Amino acid sequence: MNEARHRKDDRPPRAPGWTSLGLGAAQLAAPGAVRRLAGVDDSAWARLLVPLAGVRELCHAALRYSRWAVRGPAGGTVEWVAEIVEDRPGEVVAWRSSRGAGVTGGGEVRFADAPGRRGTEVRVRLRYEPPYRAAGATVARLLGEHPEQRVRDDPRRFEQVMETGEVVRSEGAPEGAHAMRLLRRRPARPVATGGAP
Amino acid sequence: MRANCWMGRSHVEVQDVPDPRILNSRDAIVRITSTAICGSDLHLYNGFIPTMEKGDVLGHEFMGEVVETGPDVTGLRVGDRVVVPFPIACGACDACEHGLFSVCENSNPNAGMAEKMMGYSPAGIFGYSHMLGGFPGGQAEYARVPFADVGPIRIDDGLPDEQVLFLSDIFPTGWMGAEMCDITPGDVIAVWGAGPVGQFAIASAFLMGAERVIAIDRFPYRLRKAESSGAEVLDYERTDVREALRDMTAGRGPDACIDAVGVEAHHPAPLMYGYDRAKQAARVETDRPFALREAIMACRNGGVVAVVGVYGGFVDKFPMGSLMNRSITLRGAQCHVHRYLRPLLDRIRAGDIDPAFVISHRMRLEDAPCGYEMFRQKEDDCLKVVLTP
Repeated sequence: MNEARHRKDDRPPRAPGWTSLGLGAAQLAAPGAVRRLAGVDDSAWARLLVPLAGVRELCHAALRYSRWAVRGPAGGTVEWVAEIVEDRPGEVVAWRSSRGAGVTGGGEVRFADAPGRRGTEVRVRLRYEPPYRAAGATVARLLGEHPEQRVRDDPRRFEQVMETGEVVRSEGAPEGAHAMRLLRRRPARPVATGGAP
Repeated sequence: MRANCWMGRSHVEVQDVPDPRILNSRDAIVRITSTAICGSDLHLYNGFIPTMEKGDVLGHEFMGEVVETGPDVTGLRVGDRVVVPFPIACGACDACEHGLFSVCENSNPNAGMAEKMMGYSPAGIFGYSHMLGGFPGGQAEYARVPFADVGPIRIDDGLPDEQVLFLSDIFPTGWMGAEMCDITPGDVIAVWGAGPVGQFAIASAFLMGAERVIAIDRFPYRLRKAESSGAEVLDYERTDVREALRDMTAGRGPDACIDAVGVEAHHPAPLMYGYDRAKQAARVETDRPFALREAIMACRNGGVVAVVGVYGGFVDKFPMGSLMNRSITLRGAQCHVHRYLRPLLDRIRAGDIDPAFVISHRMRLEDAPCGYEMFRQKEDDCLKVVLTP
């Protein structure tokens, strides 16, 4: 956060600010719905974390920047501050992340009408420089946490949410499309009641 | 609940597992009243389908009573009696909207795995590997059925389980095999494999107006069953199939061929069989395509080869020259079961066909391991095993 605030030419990125505000408000107001939409299991941890994350999102929104955190290889967290560089509704959202925040890069999501009224094409492009460069990328890849796999999983989940209303889950992959399942599979048998999948 | 679980190659076990619960809002829980062992379950049993895990619940042919519904299930209520199609389909994606339910874009949470093997991912399937979704199957007391408002068909009248159970897979699969042949009056259809799917393909081809149907298998009891449906039969261990088919069609060849065999075909010549079996064991090739090769070579110029037997991966020595130069059309699909549920249920009601004719054995779910072994060894003329939980 400091990193971004100290840069003088930073225009306040509005879109992530509003997204953050909306997400934070939703997480506080209806944590259950958010959990279900995100395909998060209904565990005690999730019940605690979702509203907490909401508070955090609201703080970021108040500061009109977006700060992102993803679970990285081996359970660590990778964080960065993103700045919107292009935002045309219904067409493109592009961002770049600040340097020195563990991960640098940027990306864009483009939306276009598919030919012959076959729905909407969504193209995600991610530029990515992992911590520790090539070595880090190799380790991440071995641990199943390569962004390329994420970038494939996420549009799949997005399509499921858009077309069916939620992320599709199976007993063998209770969290839905998720690259980590390629490594750590659980058998395709019912999930015990109450416990985490 | 009790469920039949895959525990490794040639090893299934009925175990205690947790009861299924609702995971998605359009799920239903079905208490299973009848389920069956499919020929394609033998491919899992014999270890030819990748991405199985110890403990996976098997079974994709099942029916029963709805005992619980998710909050967003419409058109289905607790107490409804339903047959469940084996592919899982969302009903909302582009594929589903075009009736291609077995390639639904949204129902396979492990689509990434399937893409590595097949290029793009097909739909999720109950109890059929993690590559196809990691969904527990229906050889159990209960099953969770995703998109319950799309797949299951309600059976309101008193038709017994045995007459409607096979709407879940083998009847529509055989039917679609015949449908892919574009049968017109006078057509001669050859069917490789006189297992349950082959039997339904034979019956369906006649219902669609085929003049003659020729069934090819090596087990006399299966050929007898095909004969009772009106088919002519060829035992490939005693007859040169291509020679015989040429003779039977005055040199033209069958107008269309249906491969109802798939990945584990056999060949009468030990050397030929050994060649592909060895490559399969060495993982150089995953599937043994004897039936497919022969079907292509035997088909008439300009004819159709329809593949409904299950293949898992890659085949060698594929007669591409024959296919290309002779204008053969090759078609294949996991059955788009949802399309056929209503029309085929109507056929059953009208008495055009009684699907129970393929059943040879009835067992308790607890005896599933015995059923698998009997079916694999073709003991006691085993054609189709129905299990009751």
